[in-house]
Amino acid sequence: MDHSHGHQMDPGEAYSTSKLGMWLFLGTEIMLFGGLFAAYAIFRSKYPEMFLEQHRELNREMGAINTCILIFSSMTMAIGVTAIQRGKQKLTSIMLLITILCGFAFAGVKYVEYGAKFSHHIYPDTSIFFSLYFMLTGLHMLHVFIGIAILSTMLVLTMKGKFNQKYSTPVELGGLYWHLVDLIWIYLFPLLYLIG
Amino acid sequence: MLMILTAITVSVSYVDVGIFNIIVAMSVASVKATLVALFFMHLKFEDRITWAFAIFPLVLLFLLIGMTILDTFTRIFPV
Repeated sequence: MDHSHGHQMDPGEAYSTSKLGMWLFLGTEIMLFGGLFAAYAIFRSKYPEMFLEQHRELNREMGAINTCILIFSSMTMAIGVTAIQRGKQKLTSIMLLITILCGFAFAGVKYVEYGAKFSHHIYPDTSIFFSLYFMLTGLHMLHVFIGIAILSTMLVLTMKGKFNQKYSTPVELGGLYWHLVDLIWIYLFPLLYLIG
Repeated sequence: MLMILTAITVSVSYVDVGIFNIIVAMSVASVKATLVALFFMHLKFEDRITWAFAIFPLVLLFLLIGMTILDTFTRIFPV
């Protein structure tokens, strides 16, 4: 990367600094969802019966499938990062592609789920529970799309040969973002679908 | 491993064990999250400062959720 200030940063330092910066950003993302989780905690404690009754409308099988899709995609992402750290560009491209396809698969399942809800006349303003449901999964879905965009950029750059064992930072950072998306879903799934 | 944990959470959700449902679900979710963070996100092999950056938001999160709950449930006047 260019440094127009004349002072060249030691690549090792640049690498660890950017990784740290990414973790800092992930922290802000956690706080973002944290606010919604706080809302969930409070409304759940105030209206336990509503949560119990209405969460049954959710299809936990589809939720479980989505969970497996994301965990699998996290694995392919991790393999991809390790691959580029060893300079294996082709393997990285394949892994990135699979991860992106998993992202689309997740979106597809959610599309079906939302469609089913809407056809049953369940909307974000139906109740507090569904407000939270749509907000949480909607915000998460947005992050999935952002993740897909980032990973697609990484895929194109990898195929152009921009990364190798000496320089793989952007792929790693993109990987960290994708893992965060998975992490958030790991908590969303039980909170919305599983506990009564 | 993660798949096994997912299978556990889902199957337990079909059984009603009262308060334990939420405890089990959250614990399993936390174990999964920790595994993802440690291995997929490479946290196990990172230096101390990265750990600090990763753990600190959790402290803040705990404060956010904890304090809001404390506030809303200790109010004298109905809201």
